[in-house]
Amino acid sequence: MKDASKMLVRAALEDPEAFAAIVERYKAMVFSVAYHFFQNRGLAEDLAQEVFLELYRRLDRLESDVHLAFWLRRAISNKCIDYARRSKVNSDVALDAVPELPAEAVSRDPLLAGRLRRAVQALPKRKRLVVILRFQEELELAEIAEVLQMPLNTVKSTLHRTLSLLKKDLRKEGVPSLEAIH
Amino acid sequence: MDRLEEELSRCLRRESPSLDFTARVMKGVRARRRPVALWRRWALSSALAASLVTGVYIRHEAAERARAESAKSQLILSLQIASSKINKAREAVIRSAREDPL
Repeated sequence: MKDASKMLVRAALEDPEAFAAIVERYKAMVFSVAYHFFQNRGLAEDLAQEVFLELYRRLDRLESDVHLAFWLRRAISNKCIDYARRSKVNSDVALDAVPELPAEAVSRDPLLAGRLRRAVQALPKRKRLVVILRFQEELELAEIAEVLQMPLNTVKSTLHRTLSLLKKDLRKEGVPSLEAIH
Repeated sequence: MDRLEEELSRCLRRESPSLDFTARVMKGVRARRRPVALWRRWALSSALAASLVTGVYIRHEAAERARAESAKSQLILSLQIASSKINKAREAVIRSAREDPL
């Protein structure tokens, strides 16, 4: 366990106010998984908040820093899938049904970024999470398999097929810079 | 990493929640903690009250037992005195009967 995290967990167990330091450290990670999954800030914040409150209840059972980050990723992933199943929000919708999403200034090509977000949003739940964990969290395939409790080969083939699907969807959408996407 | 993967990494970068996110989580933490604290306080008060009542009861019982023991000792002493007096009277009667057998 990294000393800093060990101290954070110990401090939070002794003084619940110290739990704020854990929230500060991991809030962007947890929030972003839900935000990229639903493209809805309010909903993502609600789900992230639920995950942190659940973490607070289970704090004494966490073994390490790696375990803490792993637990949070798994918890928010499960929360997203459960919520999407229950509410049928963004549940495996067709690309045409997804509204235009704002392109962030970080992209070299705002049009491509907007279309890409839309295409990710239209992916089935599990595929969407594989893409988010791979490109937002930069997790290895084995780590994704562990978080999503999927066989490694399934993760590999899912990611491969999903990237092909995204390229196909973007071609269909007629993105001008598509030629650069191989 | 090809162009698509680069763009995905850019599009799916971590973002921050609203500024009051941590404060809202902590409000939830405190709200969940309060019933536990109240429950603990209630349990502590109940335990204290129970031990107080038990203590008073035990003390009362001990005093009653001491009183009973004392009364028992006094009764036994009185019976012993009475028995001794009866024996003396009996011996006196027997002695006088021997001395003056009519």
